Amino acid sequence: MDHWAEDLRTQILEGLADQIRRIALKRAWISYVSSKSATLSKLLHLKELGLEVRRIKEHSIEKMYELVKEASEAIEECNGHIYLAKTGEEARRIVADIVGKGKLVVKSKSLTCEEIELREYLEEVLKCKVLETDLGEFIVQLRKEKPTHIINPSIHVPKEEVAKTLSKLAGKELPDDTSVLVSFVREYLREYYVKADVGLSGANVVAAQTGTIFIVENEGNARFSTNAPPIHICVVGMEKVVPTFSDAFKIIELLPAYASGIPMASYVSLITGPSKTADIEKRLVYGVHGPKELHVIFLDNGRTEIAKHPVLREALYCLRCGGCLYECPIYRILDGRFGHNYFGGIGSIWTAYTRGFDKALFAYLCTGCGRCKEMCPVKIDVPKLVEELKAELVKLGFRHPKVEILFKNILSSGNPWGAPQELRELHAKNAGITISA
Amino acid sequence: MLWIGCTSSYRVPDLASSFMHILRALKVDFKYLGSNEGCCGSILLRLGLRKEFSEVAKKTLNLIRSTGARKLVTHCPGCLRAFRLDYPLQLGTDLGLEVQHSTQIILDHVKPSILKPVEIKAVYFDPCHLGRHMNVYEPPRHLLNMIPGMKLIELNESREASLCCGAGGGVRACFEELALAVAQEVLDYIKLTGAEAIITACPFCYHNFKTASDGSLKVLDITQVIQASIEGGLHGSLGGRS
Repeated sequence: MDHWAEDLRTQILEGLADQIRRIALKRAWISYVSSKSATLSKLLHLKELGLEVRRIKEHSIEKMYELVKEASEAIEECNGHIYLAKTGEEARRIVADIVGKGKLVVKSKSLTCEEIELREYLEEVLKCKVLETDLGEFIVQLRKEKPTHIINPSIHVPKEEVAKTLSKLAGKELPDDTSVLVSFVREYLREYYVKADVGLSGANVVAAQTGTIFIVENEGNARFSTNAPPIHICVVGMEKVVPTFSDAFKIIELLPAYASGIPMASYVSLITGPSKTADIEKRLVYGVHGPKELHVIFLDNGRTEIAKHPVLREALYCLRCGGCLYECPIYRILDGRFGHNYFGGIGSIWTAYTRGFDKALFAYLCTGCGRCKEMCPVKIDVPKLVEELKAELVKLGFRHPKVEILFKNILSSGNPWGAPQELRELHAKNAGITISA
Repeated sequence: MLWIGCTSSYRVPDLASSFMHILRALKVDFKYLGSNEGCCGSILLRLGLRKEFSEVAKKTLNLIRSTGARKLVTHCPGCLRAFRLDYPLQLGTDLGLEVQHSTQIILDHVKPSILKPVEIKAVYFDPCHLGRHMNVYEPPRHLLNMIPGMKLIELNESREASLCCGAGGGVRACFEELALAVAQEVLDYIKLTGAEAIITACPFCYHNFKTASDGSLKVLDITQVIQASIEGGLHGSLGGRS
């Protein structure tokens, strides 16, 4: 089983040598850190709000099942369809039944869809044409890569490379001017929103009481994708449900500063059931300008297991702002290589439970410095969680080969290197001290 | 009683000597176990080996208790954290005595009058194990600010927001290239402030920065700086080593 440590090392060396990615990443985190600091010094109440949101999350995870049930009833009441998927496989089958084969799907960015590799499934198994409409996701999709950040999936691609990728799609040379590139994508995607059979999204928060889905974004693509097509499918993790509308708003108020360093996101969409009207003779008709059908799939996929764990359940408080990643000394060097489907210290716990413990060995790259805990709006004790995960990994046989030697040396020689204990007296002698104990 | 720790003893013994020099100069009575000192076991815990950690920790706990010492002073913040936070959590019992960091005991005994000028512009780097984990932010800063001629530059990324040297969590032991790359980033960043030196208070940080450094920024441990200040020999001891 030891080859995993070598594999990790190879990944590290690749990351260290990848100058292009490191340049792109550095540009990104420097800009993030300065905008966040400006925003936090303007919105002083956010720190306190973070602690309040933590209490909301603590309570919500405690009552995860009840809240999902309450949200489901509320969504059904406004003519939405609801599903509970135990696994990724189950969620994919549910989506398959709704979408069917060979359809056109526009998708807004969703970590939960990424978690269950839903786009790949729609494309490869159902032969659908799926368009990622978030700019970063679109770039990553065109490059046939994996996202490397949960908020900015193409953070590893510098603008020069984006220009090359989009030029290929345009069939003409586009300059590496960011605004030109953005305009091109805007024009390119526009017609697909109207033509699409299905819009696919995740959700940032769900309010149980009213069954309202909250989607936060800056680009306006999530609005188009969830509004223009006749069917909207929302895949949402069970941990995203909070009791009330105002609880949900507190999370929304907190997110943008930590996610993007801005006081508020351009758009927050609140979706409570499919579109409807009663304008003609007060008879209720579903499907007006927005979708006719709304399908909400609550995904478990390991969340119940995390919730049962006395220490790791704290990972479910994560709002997925991604702020910790830009602040992490290891992520700043390795970006997506310090992760799998989720990234960084907190991501190692999520990866372990959603994709398997053998995929979460990047936990060993965490220095446990605790910077993420300080930077986290809800103060998740990530180093503690990572250490707990490492203990679980050790139980499963994933212990770093070096640690065996360290342990044996400590037992036999009293220090991790197996050096003579007498050397401990040398520095005392150098300081002219006689050993007296 | 002193607890020098494995990293200070074997990787950076100069720092251990400096610490003892300082205590002698301050006329602090202390005991030291020398070749009988053991390992706190922290590295095992950081890498997920709880059972093995407990085995080592029990031995070390008994060793320390058997000395009858009333106070333990660690040179290494890693040992400090292990004794104060991890032993109670993993063994269900603490050492039953006061545990302090080297900077705290030095601060308790130092008198400004014995400190001679050390003319240097430096950044104090909060070690994770000392700062964020143990909340010891002030003593090292107090000490450094007592030294005439010391110009401390406070980074935005200090105290709770301090950067990480890259060596913790067993990363230096298991993935050295990564640990050094992190240290390199920190050194490059600190150079931009115009500082001549980075001063830390942890043998892991010191060792990692020292290995990563190309020499253009002095890498110092607080004990070296204080010893130099007491002995009035900045150019002899500090200048020569970096």
